[in-house]
Amino acid sequence: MESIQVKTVDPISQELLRSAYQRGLKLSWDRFEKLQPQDGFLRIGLSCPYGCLQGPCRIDPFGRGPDRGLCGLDREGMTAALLLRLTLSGALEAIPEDKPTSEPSWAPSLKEALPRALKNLGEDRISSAEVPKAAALLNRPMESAEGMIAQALRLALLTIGWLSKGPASQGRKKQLPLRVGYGLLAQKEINIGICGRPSPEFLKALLAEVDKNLSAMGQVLSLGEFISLEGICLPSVCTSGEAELVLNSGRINCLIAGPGTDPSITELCRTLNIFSASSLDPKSIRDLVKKAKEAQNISIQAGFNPQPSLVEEAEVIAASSILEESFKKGPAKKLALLGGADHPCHPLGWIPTEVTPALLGKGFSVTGWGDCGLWMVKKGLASAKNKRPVQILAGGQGPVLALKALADSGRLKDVKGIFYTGIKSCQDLAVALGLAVLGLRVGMAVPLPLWGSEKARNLLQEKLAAMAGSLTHFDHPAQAEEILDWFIK
Amino acid sequence: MKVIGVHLDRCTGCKTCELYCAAERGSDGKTLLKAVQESPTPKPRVRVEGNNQLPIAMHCRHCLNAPCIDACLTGALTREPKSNLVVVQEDRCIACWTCTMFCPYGVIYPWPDRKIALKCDRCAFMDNPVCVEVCPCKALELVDVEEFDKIFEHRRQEVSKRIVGKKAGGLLLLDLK
Repeated sequence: MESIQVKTVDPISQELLRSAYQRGLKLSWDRFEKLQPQDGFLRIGLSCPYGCLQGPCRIDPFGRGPDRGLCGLDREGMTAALLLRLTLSGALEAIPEDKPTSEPSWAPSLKEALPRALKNLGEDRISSAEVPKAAALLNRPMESAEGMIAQALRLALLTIGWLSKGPASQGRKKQLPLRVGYGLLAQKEINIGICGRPSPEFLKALLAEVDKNLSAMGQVLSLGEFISLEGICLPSVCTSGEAELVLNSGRINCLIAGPGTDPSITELCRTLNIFSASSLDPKSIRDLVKKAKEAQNISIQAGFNPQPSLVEEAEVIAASSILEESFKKGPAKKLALLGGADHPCHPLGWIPTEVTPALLGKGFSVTGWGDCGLWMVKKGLASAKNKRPVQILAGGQGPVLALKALADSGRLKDVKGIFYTGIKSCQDLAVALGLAVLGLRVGMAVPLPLWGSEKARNLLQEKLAAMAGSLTHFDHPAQAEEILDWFIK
Repeated sequence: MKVIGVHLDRCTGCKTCELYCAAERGSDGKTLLKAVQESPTPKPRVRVEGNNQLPIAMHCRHCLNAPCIDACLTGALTREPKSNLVVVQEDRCIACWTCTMFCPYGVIYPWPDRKIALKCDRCAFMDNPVCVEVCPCKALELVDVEEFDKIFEHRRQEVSKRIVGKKAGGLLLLDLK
């Protein structure tokens, strides 16, 4: 309990955390503590990623034990193969759902960065054929570490190309109003929470059902995702790292678990007796609204009464054209992109709330996305009332949305860095690598599993340097001061 | 006096104890990610031996009649009176490796890079040994020798039950087969 402030910087979240502990609930922080130290071999990339089942093979980083896998793979090859496997997963996550075999698309304004990247990767063009090529390399170790790193970079570029095709960057002039904060829980009697990313069809049907049956009494709230639908952005109570706390507040009457929901969320619903249903079952909607109504009078936790005023508002940018205009008009000479997921190795919200005001004070224009973006909204940094509000990007595409706008507005050279506070999926890693391939300076606050091989790390940096990009990752969870220094120096 | 015990049924041979012992006790960086970048390469003071079926983490036993202390030519190996642990005074060690040859368990290791003999000192200056803290399966446990009587009481009870269960008469030998 003494360390509650190192878990989250939000006083309301701390209050909820205290109450959860009093009730004996085990939340993500407890699981994180119990997992320490996490598998050392995997953390440094020396646990073989090939699924040959002749292993698992691991290389002793201190030289006493095995220095090669059963097949003869050395530490350089093992680390590079892990990077390739993670990037391949990231690329697969980014495949457009409607056109799984489609080719990537590129903004014409990337005409300088893209050919340079392709030339250095030894390709004329990047196509979806990179996926089977990478899968073949990960079948059995036969390629050099250098070859595997190059393939990972090709996949990273492919990921950017695929994500650039997303609906939000197709020129729609959209800015979506977003409300964030615990005060939302006090505004209506019935709150239906959404975790993960349900399909638009499901959401449409749900909102219609809520409107019909609950009218002014109920609302649908996101628990940590940017969920947009037909020109609106669902209000978000919290960031994804705080979703468990919100369930514990007793103010969520029922929960919809969309794709991407953590198992702990549905488990916690069972423990707290909150009705939950999967968004993959459209029949559940009517049942869900009925159950939410029934649960209306069940107070799970008496005493949590947030002020309705604890809500901050911001405009979320969902089209690159809007961002392009703002980059063109913006007086700031230095641009900083700061985003990514919550990570338990840092107090939740610490990096966004410490680094963003400092960057603004140093004359940077800041753009945020993901959980980090939600923290920025929550702390009022993106409010229109501010002299220089932070710009918030819609979820899904994140910095890829900014990339096109930056290229079109001719301001790529003004970007001082793109920094990830945390990485939650392989897609984030692939995007980060892809941005570095396109000549941008990318950093991340959490260590990558590359520390087991100095050669693999150097190969990656050399390749990125040839493309005028860089990828900084620390050998420890980066502190706010280090991140600030990274942007400034 | 406290010793590190190994639950044989819990040890999976994951070598987490080795990794973190080397990082915390053998490196200047004190973290795994920093330790793997250091030269000379940090070395662990605990070693996981055995095979897939029966892995076991091996440490210095701090024998009360320690042959390594008698073998040490320079007096670098001594018993610390307060904790009763056998420790190496690094400034006295001349790296002759005599102690490594005399250790019946083979748990004193030469470290030529630093010209010293390396052995477990049970992280005497810390609350708990690193290996005990990091073991993901809680296979390593710090136990007081005084408590052995109580800890192994269940074994005596199991054996006695087995013998009595045979209902044999006359003289019995404690044959555990």
